[in-house]
Amino acid sequence: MQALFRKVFNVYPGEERRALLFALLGIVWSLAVNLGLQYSEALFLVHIGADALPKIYMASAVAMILPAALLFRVVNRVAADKIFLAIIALMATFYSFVFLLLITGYSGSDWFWYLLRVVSFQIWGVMVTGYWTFTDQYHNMQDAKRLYVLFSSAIFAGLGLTGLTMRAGAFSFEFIILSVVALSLFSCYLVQKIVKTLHEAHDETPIEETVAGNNLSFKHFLKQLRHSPFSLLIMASNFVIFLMWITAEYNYLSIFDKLYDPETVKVEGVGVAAPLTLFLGQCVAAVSLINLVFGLFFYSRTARRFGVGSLLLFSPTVLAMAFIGWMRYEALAFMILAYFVVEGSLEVIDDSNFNLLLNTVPRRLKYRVRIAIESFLEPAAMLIAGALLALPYINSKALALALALLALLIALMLRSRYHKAVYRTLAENAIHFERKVKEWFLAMGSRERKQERAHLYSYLSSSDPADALLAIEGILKLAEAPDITLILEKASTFSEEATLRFFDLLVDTGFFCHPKVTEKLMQWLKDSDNSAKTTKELLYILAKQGLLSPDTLYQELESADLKLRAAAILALKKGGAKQPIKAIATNRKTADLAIEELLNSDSEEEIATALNLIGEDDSPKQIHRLLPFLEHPNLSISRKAMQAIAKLANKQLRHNAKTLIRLMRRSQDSEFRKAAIRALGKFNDATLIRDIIVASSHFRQSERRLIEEIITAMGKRAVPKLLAVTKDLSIPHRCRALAGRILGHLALPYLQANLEEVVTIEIEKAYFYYYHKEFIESRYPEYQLQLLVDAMQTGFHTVVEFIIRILSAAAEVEDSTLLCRLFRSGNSKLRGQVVESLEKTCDRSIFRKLRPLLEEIPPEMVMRHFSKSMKPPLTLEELLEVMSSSPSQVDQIVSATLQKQLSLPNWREAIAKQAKNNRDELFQHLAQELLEK
Amino acid sequence: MKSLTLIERAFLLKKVTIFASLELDHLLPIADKLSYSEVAAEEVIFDINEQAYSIYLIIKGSVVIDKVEEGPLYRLGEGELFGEEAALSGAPRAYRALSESKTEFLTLSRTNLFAIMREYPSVSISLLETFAATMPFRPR
Repeated sequence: MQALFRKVFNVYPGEERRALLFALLGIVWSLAVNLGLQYSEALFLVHIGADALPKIYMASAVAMILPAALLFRVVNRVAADKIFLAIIALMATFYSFVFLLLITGYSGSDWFWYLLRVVSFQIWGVMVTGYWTFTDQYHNMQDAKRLYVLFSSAIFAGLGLTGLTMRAGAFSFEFIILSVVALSLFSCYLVQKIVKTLHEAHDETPIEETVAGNNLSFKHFLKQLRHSPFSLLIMASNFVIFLMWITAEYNYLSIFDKLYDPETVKVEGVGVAAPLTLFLGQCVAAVSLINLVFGLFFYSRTARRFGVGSLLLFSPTVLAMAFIGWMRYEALAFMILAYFVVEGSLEVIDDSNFNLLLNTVPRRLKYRVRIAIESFLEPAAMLIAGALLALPYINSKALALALALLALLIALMLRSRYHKAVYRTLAENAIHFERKVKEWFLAMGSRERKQERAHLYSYLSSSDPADALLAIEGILKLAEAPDITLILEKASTFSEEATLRFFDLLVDTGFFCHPKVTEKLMQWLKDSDNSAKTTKELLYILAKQGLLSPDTLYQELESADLKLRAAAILALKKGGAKQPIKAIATNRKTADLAIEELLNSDSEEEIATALNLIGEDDSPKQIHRLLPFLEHPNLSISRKAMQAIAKLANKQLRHNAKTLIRLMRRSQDSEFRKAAIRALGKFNDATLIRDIIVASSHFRQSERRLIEEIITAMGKRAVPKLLAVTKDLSIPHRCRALAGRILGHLALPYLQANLEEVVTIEIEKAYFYYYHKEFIESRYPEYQLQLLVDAMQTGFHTVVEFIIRILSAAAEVEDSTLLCRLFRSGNSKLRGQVVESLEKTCDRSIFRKLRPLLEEIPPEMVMRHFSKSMKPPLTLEELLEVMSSSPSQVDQIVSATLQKQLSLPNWREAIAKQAKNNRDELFQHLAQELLEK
Repeated sequence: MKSLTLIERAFLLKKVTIFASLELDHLLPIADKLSYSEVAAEEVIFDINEQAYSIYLIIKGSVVIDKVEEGPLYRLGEGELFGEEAALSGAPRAYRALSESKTEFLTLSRTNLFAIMREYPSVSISLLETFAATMPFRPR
């Protein structure tokens, strides 16, 4: 029974309770709201007549402004469940009041029917918004694709029950109103139950973040909207659809009103004639049934198979066809078709589409866009439609047709922009660690850039030196004609500590070569107020710049102060540009001897200083003096040596590449590794690509970005190497993903052409890991295999991560690590959007195989896909053997450990063989340990 | 409610202990992900048992940490942060945060906090130091 329920409603095992609760809530509130609205509409027609429909449309539209404005204010401040509960409570209160009016006989005037119709419409509007906003807290985008249609169907079930109730004509109006109150109270109970028993799908649209006073004004909302064209398009689409809806409804209701004369039949409880109520009841019941069937069995499957974009076109197309026919022939069939689009497909398809499209709206705007649409635009559309329809000589059918065609045009635009919008919303979560100050400014508009530049200069005049220094850093890194005079003026007021930091900034940004800076530094040097430390630093940077003559500091070559000695050496090396060649040569020789002396010193500080000085040399030949220090036990010395090499490196020194790669791979220090990468970049040798990438398997993100930078700089000649690495199954996934990413930048068509081949193998691998993770323990209950299960889990995640990275790279996704990072996050809503975003990056047949691996579905469902296409599962021995030759270090370690632990036949030989093939230091230690025991 | 530009947020961020050592290049990506907020005096910023989504970095003013019935446990001021333990663990808030005076702060979501900690180990270490230094009011 449960299995049938899951199959019919597309519900995954484990989520039945959640689905049932939300569906039940949908039926209950929908029945309550629709009983109120449908009866008020039918009785309005009976008591007032269809001629007053334009008036009621306009009145309802105006009346929506107040609840909409209230909702708009509270939606980002108050939790969705509290808002929904408050709306239900208001509904119960209103209908209790109506009940009182009915039983006390105050319901006779026209105003009562106007009031009932208008408020019932208001309640319907806010309840729809409240329900979907509340539901959205508990579902991500992929859940939405499957389940929202079930909830929509539940709402239609409520509508259908309303139709049956109307059709039966067995209850008095007072009884109906009392039922609405009772159903409202039951809805409250269900909401409370959901809140207490279910977990929200985190959206991180933090109520706590906004409660504290973020800008919630309407003006700010409009400002944000300007930056989200897709949101505007969704709003435009809904506005036009609603105009179309009202116009079409007016057309067929006017005909129905003529066909069913309300003056003849008595209706229970109201005392007037209403065959129209009975006819509409029939139609409502029929259309609800069709909605239910389509919603439950076709919508989610169609949306998953063809995408939301295709479904956007359905209603406008059918309605346009209905009105084209209707304009030619006054046949009831066209009216009924229009009726079924308005009451049927607009409800079941377009409402569900809207819920999915809303996921592409930036999260801060999302709920406010919903309110703006449901509570402002739809009533506004109603108002405009009412006004248009009230115009004399208006051709309402031609108007409906024009609106249907406009809706179709907007639907086409939405369709073409949908996937980009999904990614753009996701990209809002990207943190651009790779951007530098200058790039941030380039990403701004000219007005914003000007404003931010002005901010930097205003911080420069701050009395807080920390602010002033940060402002200088920004201005210098921005490098847009900085006002050096102003900066130097400010710097002259700094304390010693701030001055030294200022010097560092000048050196880092290369601005100490600026003539004004040099002049100022020389002036400072003459200033007797400087501290000794400042003076030494000044001498050092001036000497580094070649601005001090060798004689100035010659006597400091023997100084006990290391900084002064270094300055003297630099002055000798760089300061004699105007001297005769012989003198220059002598000075350089003296400087080299002084450096040699420092290099041979026992003091690590002196060695580090010497390495720095070699790095300042103009001659790459000096590299031979640095190489021996790369393996120095003191990290700061080996780091300085590598940094000096990075400064001196050029193409002629590329024969040292293998040494650098070996040391880079072994080093644990990020600065050392970055310097090595920079040096390798200067070698500019495409034959090194494989080794560089393979060495980076355990590198940090910033180091990998640097590798990307240097390989990208090699240009097209890197392409064949990168493609080979991306496809090479013996290389760890992380490295292949990096190669794929760079390849995507350099030669996207190459990557796209090879995508299927690369991804298909990986999907198989992912299923392989997944299967064995789930079932290996149960196949071998006699063994303790938790370690193996963990390894399979790690393998599975690594492969899936690789697939995501490669698909991102092939889709020209600006930040391919973003999707991966978001997929790993605990935020279920983001994960759902990642899957949606990936859908467009590969062929549908590939994505169908991939989807079960990405979605959060129970193992048995994943395995159903596995059993369709994959090879038979392995025995434990076979599995360990496969793992022993895997490129993954984890697989190899676990394989060796378990072979020994489980005392499998010939385990010694197997581990020895593995050790022979895997020369990694860590594995060698492990193998030795295992074999010794 | 004023809105802050990227540069303004970066400069405010620099005043927060755990980010004080970062250069402007590193501050800007973080500043891009911050939300600026201000609350009046004696307003509840978050309450016990609320779901935690963010950490709070105080820019101006002061915040009292309490457990209602036990009275104030801690007072935090400019440059300090709070709310990180629940944001890191995913557990509900174990204490209440109340503004003592008009307070301005920046908030950072937990997803972004994790990404920043991965990118800048110095921030992780600094956060750990801050966390350890204020242990008396942390639940164990």
